[in-house]
Amino acid sequence: MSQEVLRDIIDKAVADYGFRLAVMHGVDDVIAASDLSDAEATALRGKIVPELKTLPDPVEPADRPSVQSKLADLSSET
Amino acid sequence: MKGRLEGKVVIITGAATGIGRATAMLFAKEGAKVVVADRNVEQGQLTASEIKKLGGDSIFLSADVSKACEVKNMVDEAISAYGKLDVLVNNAGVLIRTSRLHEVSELEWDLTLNTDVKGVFLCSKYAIPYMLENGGSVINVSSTSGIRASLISSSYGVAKAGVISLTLTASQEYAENGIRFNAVVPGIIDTPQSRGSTGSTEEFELRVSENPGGRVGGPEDVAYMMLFLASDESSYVSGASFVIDGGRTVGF
Repeated sequence: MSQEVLRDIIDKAVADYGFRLAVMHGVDDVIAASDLSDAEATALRGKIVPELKTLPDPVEPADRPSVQSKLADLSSET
Repeated sequence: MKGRLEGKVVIITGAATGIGRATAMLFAKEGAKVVVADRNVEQGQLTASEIKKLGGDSIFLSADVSKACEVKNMVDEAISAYGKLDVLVNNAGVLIRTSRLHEVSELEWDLTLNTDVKGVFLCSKYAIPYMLENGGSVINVSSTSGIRASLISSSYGVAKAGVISLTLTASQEYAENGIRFNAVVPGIIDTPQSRGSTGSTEEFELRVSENPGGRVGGPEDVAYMMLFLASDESSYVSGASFVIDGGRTVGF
């Protein structure tokens, strides 16, 4: 269940600049409000946020689906 | 010649980029001591150092306006640095695109309302005590999304309508203390947030072409209105909302 929540957060953060900023600068709030496992929270904080900072600013990436998939894969790596 | 804000101490939230940054630069140019507040530390520090490079007086304070403890610290540190507070610009905001109402997540809703409305409440709550004796000016940044249907984001529209309501009420509550509350209501302004809310440069350019005159405003267009509201030139102006949209809203 929470894996889906994490995927939703990743997809939204890639596609929506405002949400991306909220995750980048307030990841603890996002984690606190979401039903993420400890491992998922760690992945969001340690792997996904740094990647989000590399995305085009302030628009969504041209190849949005592939970026979303790439980050989802990254979040599930151990 | 003295600047229009000579000697005034100002806190501007969300001053790392966009309208907040332009306002910080303009206020400093007009002689204000500017507290640049933002949760974006890197860009916030850049704004403050740019002001200092140009001969202005500024400090950067990291603050998330949705958190009471951080807001209290921000105000306390501003007072500690400059000894008083004359102007508060509640500019920090987030625009998260939403689907139709039944598809909006609680997370999207809370993130928006916590920053855009609760943030204005918290900053006002902790700043007002320092204005009770000598008066001051509080400028709240709303949006045309708050005065008409907000199809891009229902939560953003609700938040920005709330900002206007809070402005009206506070203007009455603190008139006897000489604290003025006004709101600016920007339409499409060329900022990172505005561009980001459309998703792509092409979509933003399309919105630009639909605006009266085929142009949108720059952050400075809003900053100049706030300069007036922050200065003593607007001493008889309170409880007002100023639409800055090039005439777009009345055309709907």
